Amino acid sequence: MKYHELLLFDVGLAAALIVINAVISIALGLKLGRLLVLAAVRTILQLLLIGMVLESVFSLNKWYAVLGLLLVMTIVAGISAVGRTERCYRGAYIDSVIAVSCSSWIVAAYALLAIFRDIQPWYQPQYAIPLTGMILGNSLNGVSLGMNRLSEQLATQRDQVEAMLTLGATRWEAARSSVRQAVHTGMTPIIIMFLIAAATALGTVCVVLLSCRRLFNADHQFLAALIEKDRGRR
Amino acid sequence: MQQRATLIDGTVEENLRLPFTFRSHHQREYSRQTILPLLAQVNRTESFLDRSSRELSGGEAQIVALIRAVQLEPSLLLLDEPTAALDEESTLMVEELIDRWFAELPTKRAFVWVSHNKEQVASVANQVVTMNQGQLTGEVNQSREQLP
Repeated sequence: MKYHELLLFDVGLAAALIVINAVISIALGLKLGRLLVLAAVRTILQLLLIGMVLESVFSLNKWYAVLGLLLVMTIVAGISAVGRTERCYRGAYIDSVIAVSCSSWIVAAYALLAIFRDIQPWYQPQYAIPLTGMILGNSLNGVSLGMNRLSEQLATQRDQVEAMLTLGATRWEAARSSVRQAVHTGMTPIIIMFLIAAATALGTVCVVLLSCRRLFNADHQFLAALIEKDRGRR
Repeated sequence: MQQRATLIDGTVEENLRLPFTFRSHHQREYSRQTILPLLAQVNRTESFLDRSSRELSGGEAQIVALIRAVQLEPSLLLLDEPTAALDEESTLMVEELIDRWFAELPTKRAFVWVSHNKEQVASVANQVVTMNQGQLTGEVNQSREQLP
């Protein structure tokens, strides 16, 4: 496969899009100019730093370097998931990192070792890093939504949970319905994504079928020719 | 027992069955025969078991919550202002239900009742501990037989 190398000029063209935002900010008097410049500079610095790290990992091409980077990405994703929740509790960060790790690493390992089994060695950074990154992104969303829902449920249904505990329920039994709802909420984005993908596929099929129908119905010549050809064979 | 009864969606009987779904009570079974005499004490018949928890008044919900706790035969009941939001009639029913439960085994059962109602305290308690802003301010022992 041939890779297209981006020149500094190309990157500059992409960055120039920020100017459009700046113009809109000035035109509408939003006073976001300073914030935009700061955000842009911060992004550039972060990306440069990440680029340097990635470059060294790619050039090293060792399993421990790739795993180390994935571990850092996982911890950052776990911390970010808690950052998105409205209510926090003691031990939330550890729970979040464990949840993100378990969900992402199992799927990533399955993808790298089973689905992309032809790629050897399995830790090739150009596959392992972006693939795990995408999975981490989805996990982060699911975990943050789930944690948010769980803490909200436990807060709003505190009386019910306490009543169950006083009746002899274990912590798990008392929180089970809240956990169920949290898992449901956490899975919703991925289910919606599946539905959109299915709808897109269905839409494509429909477009193809409609085109075929128009083709056949135009003056039935195409269909008639096919039938004639088939009869000729028999 | 909380100030306001917390019931799950469903019938009264489903609420009464709830504790038996927990692992800690898995060796025990829900029994209507245990419940019916308790219901009779508060002038309710068997048909009350089929009523939806959403239809119950505050007093009725509190009674269901109390029966749900009492049927488990606890040795200690913790009552956090159980009658604070109830009318006079429901208050009397709750008091009587607790009194009868205690009277069945007075040496093996006890309850801690938090209340702001001095008359109620005088009528239900053996030992009264007063608190002000989280600090103990007094303790009085009184015999239930001596109470009015």
